[in-house]
Amino acid sequence: MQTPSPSVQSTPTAIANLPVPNVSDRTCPRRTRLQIDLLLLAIEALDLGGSEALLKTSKELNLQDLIKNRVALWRLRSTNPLRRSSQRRPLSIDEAKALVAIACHLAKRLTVLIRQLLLANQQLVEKQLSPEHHFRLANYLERFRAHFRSRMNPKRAGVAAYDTDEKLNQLALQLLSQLLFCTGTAGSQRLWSSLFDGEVA
Amino acid sequence: MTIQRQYSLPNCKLVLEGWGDESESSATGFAETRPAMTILANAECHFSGQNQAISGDRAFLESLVTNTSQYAQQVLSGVPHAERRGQSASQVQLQQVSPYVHRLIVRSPDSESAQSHAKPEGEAVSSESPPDSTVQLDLSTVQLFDLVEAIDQMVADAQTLPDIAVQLTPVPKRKATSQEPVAERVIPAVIGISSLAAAAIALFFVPPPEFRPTEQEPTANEQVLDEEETDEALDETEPLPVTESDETEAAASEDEEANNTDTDAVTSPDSDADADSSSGSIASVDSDNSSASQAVSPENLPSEEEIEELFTQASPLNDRDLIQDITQDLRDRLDEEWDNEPTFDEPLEYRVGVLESGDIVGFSYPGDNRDMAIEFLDELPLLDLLTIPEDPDTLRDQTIAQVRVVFQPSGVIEVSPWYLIEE
Repeated sequence: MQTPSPSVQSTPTAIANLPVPNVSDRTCPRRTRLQIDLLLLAIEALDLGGSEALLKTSKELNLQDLIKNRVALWRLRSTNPLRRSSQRRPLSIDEAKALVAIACHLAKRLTVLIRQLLLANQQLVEKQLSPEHHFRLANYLERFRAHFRSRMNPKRAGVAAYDTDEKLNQLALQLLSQLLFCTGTAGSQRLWSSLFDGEVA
Repeated sequence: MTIQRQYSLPNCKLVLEGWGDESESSATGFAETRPAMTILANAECHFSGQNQAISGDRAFLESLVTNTSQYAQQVLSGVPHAERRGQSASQVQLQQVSPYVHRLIVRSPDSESAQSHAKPEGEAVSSESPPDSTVQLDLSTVQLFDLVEAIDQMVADAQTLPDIAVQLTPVPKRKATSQEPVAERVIPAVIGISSLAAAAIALFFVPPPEFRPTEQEPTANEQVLDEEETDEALDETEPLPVTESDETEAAASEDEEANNTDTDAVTSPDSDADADSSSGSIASVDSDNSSASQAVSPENLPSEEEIEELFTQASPLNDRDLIQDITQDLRDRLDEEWDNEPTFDEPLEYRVGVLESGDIVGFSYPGDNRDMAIEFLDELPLLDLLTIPEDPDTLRDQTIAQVRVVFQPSGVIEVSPWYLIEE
């Protein structure tokens, strides 16, 4: 067994359990890039120090070789085609793995909150009440909407589709559900596998 | 000896009963303390808030593992699996009722061989009566997740049915379908994104950056910060960007506007006279002015001289793509951190030094509003984002990008690369 060390040129353990999907040219398809960035956006909306935590986690997981610094992280996230600052550079499989490992690591830390918010939403839906009736949930949704609107390019049809608070709330809740599945024992493998649904040969 | 294993989560409990392989269990000491269960007699699954448990033999468990796993993947990706259509034959099925409700349907194994645990003895055993042999539970997303997690814990447990595994593989292209009715119900938003996004590619695919030489506005990136505290404020800001721009314009502005920008900012009549500011400033007077420095900063922050030296002497970053990235990243972070209502009524301008890594190392107040820029610093996220170098001397060896940041009273943050007028 190799001990993980930043200086060793081996696959960081955090991403070693994620298989290489059978996609063409070994870069991530559009949906993969979009989905990863949106999940990270949801994490940032959940956690006030979210964007700093992303960077810190990449260090903790020994992923510095893949994500050197803040700008590098930002560049990876900007492969999301819906961003205002969307970049045409590809997202490599290893880079995507690193982002997935970070997302799942942070989701695990936020497990309690994620569950609370989903349960709260469930109860509100049953009582036919709007999310504004739950302070913490309303707060998450508001932050998510703000992040989404300020980062995504409204000229893109994929963004224009979310032109109301309600539609963005739905997206935020759906991402919250997905984050819940990331918190589990096989969370990162499950997320990873799902990111390539319908994309592999 | 009967072995029982239990995987408990807040909303779901999976209980397995079975036996180990006698010959193997005596082989190792560890096996004796926690012997491997290799033969399953009965599997039972309880959900909080549901009276009825589901249970069955190994075939039931396998069906539960496979179908729950596939369904969970579908919840995650929004991409339905074509094979799930044919799963009507399988014992366990999951259907999406709404984004928050997942219907778990368990049918008893068919006909005579069936020994439904729920069915009392003596009642007519008839395969004609599905209501008797079918259990249907509506699970919340959290309950569904707990079921998935119980399964994953069981699968990860090497001492329990080691031959049961979960296949986690992406659905191949040819098996993914968005035609079937289920697809429309499953996570409409995700499908919405991908299909609309595809349409966007097809319809609006435009060539890369067009230059806009006529643009006057010195601000390359101007975006609305809609992160106000109150709902009202949020509503007000919703009609988004006044001036939309992205890297395209920013890039376009580089050549054409550099002079404008610089002239604007650098020739502004700030400076010496005002340099006796007293707030908690850690930054310097703009570099083309003599430094009447009175740093009132904590000792561990870079001094005014250091910041000034940095701006004048550190090698400027020349990689335009990188400068754009740094600028955008800075905007995103300021945007995220700035969540209080502005109380100032005039734009506050800062000249910010950023390392290649994205770390902010210092800033100065180049604008007309120098006093206000210092006064209202506490309201802004700049100080929070400042990275204090352990050894300020190391900064001299680094390349620095300089960024002009303007906080507007409206809540808008304008960010653009700062081009030096010299040369």
